[in-house]
Amino acid sequence: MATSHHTFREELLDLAYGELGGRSARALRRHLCGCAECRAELARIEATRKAMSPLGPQPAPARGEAILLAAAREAARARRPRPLLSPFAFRASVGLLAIAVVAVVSFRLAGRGEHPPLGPSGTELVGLAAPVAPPSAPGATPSEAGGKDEAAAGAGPEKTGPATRAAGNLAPSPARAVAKAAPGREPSAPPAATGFARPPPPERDEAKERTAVADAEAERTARADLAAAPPPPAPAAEPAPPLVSSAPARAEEGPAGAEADRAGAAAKLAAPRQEIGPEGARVREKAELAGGRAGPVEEGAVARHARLRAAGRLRVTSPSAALCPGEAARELEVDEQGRVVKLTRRGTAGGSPFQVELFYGREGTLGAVRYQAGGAVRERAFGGEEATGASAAAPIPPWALEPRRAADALGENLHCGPPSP
Amino acid sequence: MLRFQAGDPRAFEELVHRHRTPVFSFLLRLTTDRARAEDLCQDTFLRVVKASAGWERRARFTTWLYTLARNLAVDEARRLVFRRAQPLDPPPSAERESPEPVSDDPAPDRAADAVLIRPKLEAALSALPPEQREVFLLREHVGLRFAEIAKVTGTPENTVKSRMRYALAALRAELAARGIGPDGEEPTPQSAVP
Repeated sequence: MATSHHTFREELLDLAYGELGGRSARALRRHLCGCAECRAELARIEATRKAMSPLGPQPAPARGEAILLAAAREAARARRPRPLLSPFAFRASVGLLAIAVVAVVSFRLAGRGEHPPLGPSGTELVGLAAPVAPPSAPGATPSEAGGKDEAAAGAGPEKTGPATRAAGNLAPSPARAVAKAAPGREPSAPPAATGFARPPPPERDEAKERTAVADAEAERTARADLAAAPPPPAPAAEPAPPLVSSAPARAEEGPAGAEADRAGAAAKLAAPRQEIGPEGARVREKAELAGGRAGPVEEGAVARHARLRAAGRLRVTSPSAALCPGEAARELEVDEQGRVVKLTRRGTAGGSPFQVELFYGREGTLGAVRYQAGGAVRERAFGGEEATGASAAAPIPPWALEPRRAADALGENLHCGPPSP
Repeated sequence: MLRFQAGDPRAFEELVHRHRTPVFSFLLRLTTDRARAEDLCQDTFLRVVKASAGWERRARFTTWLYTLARNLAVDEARRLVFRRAQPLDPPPSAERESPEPVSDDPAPDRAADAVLIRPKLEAALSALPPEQREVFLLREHVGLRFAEIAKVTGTPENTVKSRMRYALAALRAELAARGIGPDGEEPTPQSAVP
């Protein structure tokens, strides 16, 4: 019983504060009914609590609360889920991306601007075509024509021939247009090997090869005409001659040959992409005529005359027109088409005999004049400086330069010129 | 607390409005120093802000809150004792920690004047030893259960109950000594005499 009383007395505090369970509380209440000591203890506890109940809470001061709330807002802001990129970081990223794009595009454009032009320049073509091509292999036949593929692959000289290049798909260019317009082109021309300093793009290869082969063909034809009447030898076995002027023509024309060389070189530089094919001289004349010049001597008038005369293709006739005063003879040399190639006038002017030789180009324009009077030989190539043979004391009289066109040499429109021949 | 933990500052504002005054009262009566109570109360809620990120709902927020407040007060009291080199002698009222009631049958008081009695009640409360005072405050004013008080104070629950009994007995004696009856009524000179 005492133990029970002690246990109940321990539970009085729990009962006073309501923390005792239902069964324990009921048991304690039953004990309280019979235990005055426990009832008195419970009464004291409740009385003390009641006595202390007026002691209410002390209000907290207002100051400091704002600081707490500010700290709480700061902590809550830091605790909020942040976006992947803050507004500033987002703007900065967009700006950097734009700068990077502009830089890449600028770099690409700058890199593209540094590339060489696609089309070959005239000087480049002349310079690359200038080297004399070695003779091609005798076995090179048109069947080797690989077309565009071989040219694009930068094949060696032995693999490329005129037929191949003619069949190639060339890029359009003015020079090629002229070459296409030239009649009588031989598609099965023998291959003439050319050497290249470096492998340029395929298109440039074909153009240079065509130029070099055309030159070689022209030279071959000229030398064949000059050499003998028989048909030209196999070009494949013939070394390619120099491009500027044919040696036989220079040898035959003497000082005029050197003049022709200089004029020809100048013409090549001025007209870089002129085509010299089987009809090389004619094509070159066309190109130079288009440039406003009377025509070069080496390929146009003098050389053409020499070539045709060597080939026996000239016919000597006498014009039906009356001779000029002091003129003793007039001789015309016409080609197979009846075009005047050379007009020779002889007579006496100022008491001394003279001889005027006027050389006309294929287009019928005056290309060169050779005037002999008083032991002096004066020559003049139109478009170039006047050169003299024996002496250059006196220029060629104007009347000796007539007629300027070959067609006039056949008719009555010949300007007699000399005031007192 | 969960809302504030999720980043809602208004939730903390509600916590402050609900608990700031009880915490301040607890700290004020525990330390018997208003300035110290204000600082401790401020520090307590700042600790709540800082520790809210890692708070886990393993106990009532009130229990956790008063644990913070009580620990801060105890730590500061220890520092003050060390600085002032206060004597370790028990306070004068310790001799009256006897659980023996002053009056076995206090007369009921129905006309107590709260304004006049409250200072005496405060004085009687402050006369309790700190360990009894904190248990009494936590149970009587904060409303924690004895088990929760045991967690806050880090003492066994039976110890908490013993301290509570001693506190009630001491208050009864202190109130009787100050002329306050069990129901807040100032006892007559005859009844005040044991």
